[in-house]
Amino acid sequence: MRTSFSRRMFLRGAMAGSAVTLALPTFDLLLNENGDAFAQDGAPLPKRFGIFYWGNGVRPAQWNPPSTGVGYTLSPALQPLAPVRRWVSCVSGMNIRTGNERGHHAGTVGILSGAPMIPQDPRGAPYASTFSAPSLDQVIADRVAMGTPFRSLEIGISESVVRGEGSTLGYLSHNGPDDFNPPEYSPRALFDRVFGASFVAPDTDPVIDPRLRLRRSVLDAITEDAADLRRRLGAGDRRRLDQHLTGIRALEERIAALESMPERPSLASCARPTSPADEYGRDELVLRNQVMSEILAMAMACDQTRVFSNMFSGSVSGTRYPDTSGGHHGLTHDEPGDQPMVQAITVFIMECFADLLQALAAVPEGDGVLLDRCVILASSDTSDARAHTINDYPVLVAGGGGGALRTDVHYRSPSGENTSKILLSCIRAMGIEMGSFGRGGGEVSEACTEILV
Amino acid sequence: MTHRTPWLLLFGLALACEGTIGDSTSRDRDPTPETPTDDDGDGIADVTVAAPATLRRLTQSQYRNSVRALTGIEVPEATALEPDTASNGFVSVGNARTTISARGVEQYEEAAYVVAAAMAATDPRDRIGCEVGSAGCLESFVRSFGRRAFRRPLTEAEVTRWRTVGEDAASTLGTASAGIEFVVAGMLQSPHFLFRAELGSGDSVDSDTVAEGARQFDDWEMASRIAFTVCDETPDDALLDAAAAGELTNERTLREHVERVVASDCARRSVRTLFDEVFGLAELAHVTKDPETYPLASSALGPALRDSLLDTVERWAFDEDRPYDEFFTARQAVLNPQVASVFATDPGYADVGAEGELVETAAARAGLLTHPATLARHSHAEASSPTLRGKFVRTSLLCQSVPAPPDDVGELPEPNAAAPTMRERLESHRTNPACASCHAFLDPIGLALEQFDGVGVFRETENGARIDPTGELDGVLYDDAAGLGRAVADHPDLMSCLVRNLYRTATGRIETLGEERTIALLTRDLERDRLLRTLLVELLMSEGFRVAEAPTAEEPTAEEGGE
Repeated sequence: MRTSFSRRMFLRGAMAGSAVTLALPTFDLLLNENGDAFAQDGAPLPKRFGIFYWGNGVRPAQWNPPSTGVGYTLSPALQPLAPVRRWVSCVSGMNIRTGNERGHHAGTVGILSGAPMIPQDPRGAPYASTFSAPSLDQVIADRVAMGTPFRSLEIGISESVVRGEGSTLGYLSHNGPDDFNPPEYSPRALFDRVFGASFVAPDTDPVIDPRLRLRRSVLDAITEDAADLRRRLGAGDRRRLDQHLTGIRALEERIAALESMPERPSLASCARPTSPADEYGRDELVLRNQVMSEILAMAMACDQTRVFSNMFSGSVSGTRYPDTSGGHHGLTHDEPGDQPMVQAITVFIMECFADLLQALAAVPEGDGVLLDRCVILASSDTSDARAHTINDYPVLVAGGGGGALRTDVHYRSPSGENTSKILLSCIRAMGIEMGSFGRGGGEVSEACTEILV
Repeated sequence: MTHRTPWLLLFGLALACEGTIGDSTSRDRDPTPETPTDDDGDGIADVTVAAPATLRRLTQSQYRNSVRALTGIEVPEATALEPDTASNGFVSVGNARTTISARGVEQYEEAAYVVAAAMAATDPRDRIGCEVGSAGCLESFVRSFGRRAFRRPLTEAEVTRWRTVGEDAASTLGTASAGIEFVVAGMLQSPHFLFRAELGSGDSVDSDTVAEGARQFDDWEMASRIAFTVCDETPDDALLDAAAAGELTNERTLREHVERVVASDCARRSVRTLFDEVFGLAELAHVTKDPETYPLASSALGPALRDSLLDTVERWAFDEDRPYDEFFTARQAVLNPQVASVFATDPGYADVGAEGELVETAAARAGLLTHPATLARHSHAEASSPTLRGKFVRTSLLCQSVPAPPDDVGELPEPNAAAPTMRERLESHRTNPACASCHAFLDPIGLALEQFDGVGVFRETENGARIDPTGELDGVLYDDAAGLGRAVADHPDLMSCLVRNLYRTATGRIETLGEERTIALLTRDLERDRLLRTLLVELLMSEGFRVAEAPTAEEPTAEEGGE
């Protein structure tokens, strides 16, 4: 791997090749004296959920680990995860059961929401679709956000995204049909959003700024404006306006929380990081992913959010990776033979996934690290991209889940079980009681118990 | 030059080869019982079926232009906003379908306070019209600013609501200007500003040529439709005054106002928006060209090529009164350094223009098909693509439909002695019957443009062999790209497709059969002088653009959680 992380976290900014290293205060100074997970006056440390998603699938023969069970042998594609393998489980042999009406689209919606996609009239584009149900991150955010400043944070790494084929290919996080949460692609913008002027460290006293109350009263007036408008709309536009109102309420609650500073868990590792560089070149996927992962890790350490998603690359993305001769999607169809370049891209993406896990593992928390209390789902839009298959789907589940997840285990389904079982496992590992999950062919009431403790 | 592996071009080259092709989009649709009849047989449907009214979110450019018009303050370029989302190839269509995310709410809030603080910090008296802090000033500002921001007069309840916000801010913060600041910041976040509520609030329509149940857009809604369609921004006081006087629902006075607005400077934006959408140029900001294959590639290249194409069409449409068909034959382009670098190797190109000048291009380069923005946009990262270019001409310029490529595509042969150029390598697509139906429809168009590489640089050979740019478009034979340009210029579907594209951007929807009467009438209008300005005026005047199927204003049910 390119990077080794020490206990100190670094935010690397790079402009014109010059790396700027900005150290956080040492954890020794920040650590709680007793260092345990339950501070005297704080709530228990929360669990966090994340999705890492990439486009254009894998080469199944080089993805699936050759052995099963605890301490499984890493496959060639999974080699980059060796340094973090004690947190990573692999589930193989499961199938998406929500249909495969259209390559890439169906798999994306199926693995992210456990529900079928909605085809749309594409007219000018080759195809178009949207989600029929919220994506898993939003299902979980509904139950765990609990007034954190950001209900969820969305980031994207490769900006080579197909934008003309409906929301399915354009966005990962969905609230419903044609209703999505756009990702942040700029590390600087992500930093400003979370740790900018409005950031208040969790242990500080409430802010006495009269402008906060005025901002809330403005949002109240806007809500009244929306109620007037709503009465004049048809059902479809009402739903769109209601979703907008949900965002307004979220902002209002965030401002209110600044004024009252509700009780928060003890967050010994929380520190405001230093602002990253403004720009990362478009080939700097590795750096962008690392820096944004580190900001996400600190956002969670500071309990600014408990849910995130990383659309590393979009479905059907033509992202150019180093040392390849074409865009990713084109290569999956056109590279002959065993597709060494496609395989190299999968390895590259797994290196970046490992970087995300490293960033989460670098933050001490309680008697362990942040990653111990995370549930991370990693998957793609298809299994074998050349054939657009949705059987034997590539899925990883990482993090300790606060003790709820079995880690470092490979479970290979002998019977092509429903991938939604993995999603339900994530939900339950987050401590959420839910009897069943998914819609249509994606509905399940049993979790994948092999990865649950 | 490194030898690029050719099979990676294949994805864009392999198309599904079944199904009907070449029909105009309207003919693909199943006739429904509501299909309008054409009893007099003039080729134009007898009635318009009004399209449903839809709430439309402002595009990023509409938001920025409107904020500038309202406050005199520029939203900082670095301020991120809810992204525009294209559906059916059009941002205007996507923004009529999507909503504002939680992140978008934060972004609009931040932008609103930046702008409001900047406005309050300047001396805003001429925008406010009274001494800030004097009796009644805040309320009169709420009324005047509100009318422009919401594009209609405020109700008394709204005046009270926003005056209260302003009074609260002024007394809490102890300065009268804070009242102005919070009113401005608040109204810029209101759904009345961020969404265009053109809902068909006028009288019910009584016309032999409109199906029953339609309603007119009222005067205020017409002001908004005119201003956003032509100027890409909120209506100015002149239009709002006209609305107040009832002049925008009256045929004669409406035409006066429409002609005035289309003649104004801001009308240039409409043509830029239209060509940006139709040519898909926004994507040029994200397109990465392989620097090994294309030494000219840089992050500045795509945006500069886009600017040049839009500058060029703006000049043609507004300074030269050039007919639309000549957009595909005229040997001109507006220069900037990046475009000049692409032109530099054109045979016979005289590099005499200054930046921003409309200059003559080399003989090989004629019309928008040979503009580097078009060529670079409809190419791969490391190669040109005859199929993508052909598909662009068919679908975007002629509004014909092309089926999607199949899932399992074959492989394109490597260049070899027998097949050095793309034409020979694509031969199998045109001889294999499974592929021929589509590729014979697409490839000849793109092959005529093969003398221009993936960033639009002219070349006469590929892999040492001469490129043959001859071909045929729907029965018209041509020798090269300039000939293709003439064939497109003369194509019978060219004018109606421009009408469809403008209609789609202006209405935020893809037309259905009930709207074909409007398309046909506008095509007839356009064919008279082929001028975009004429088309703009006639679109805004057309019956179809002025009527809507209003939403049924039932009370919210309990399930919907009414306020």
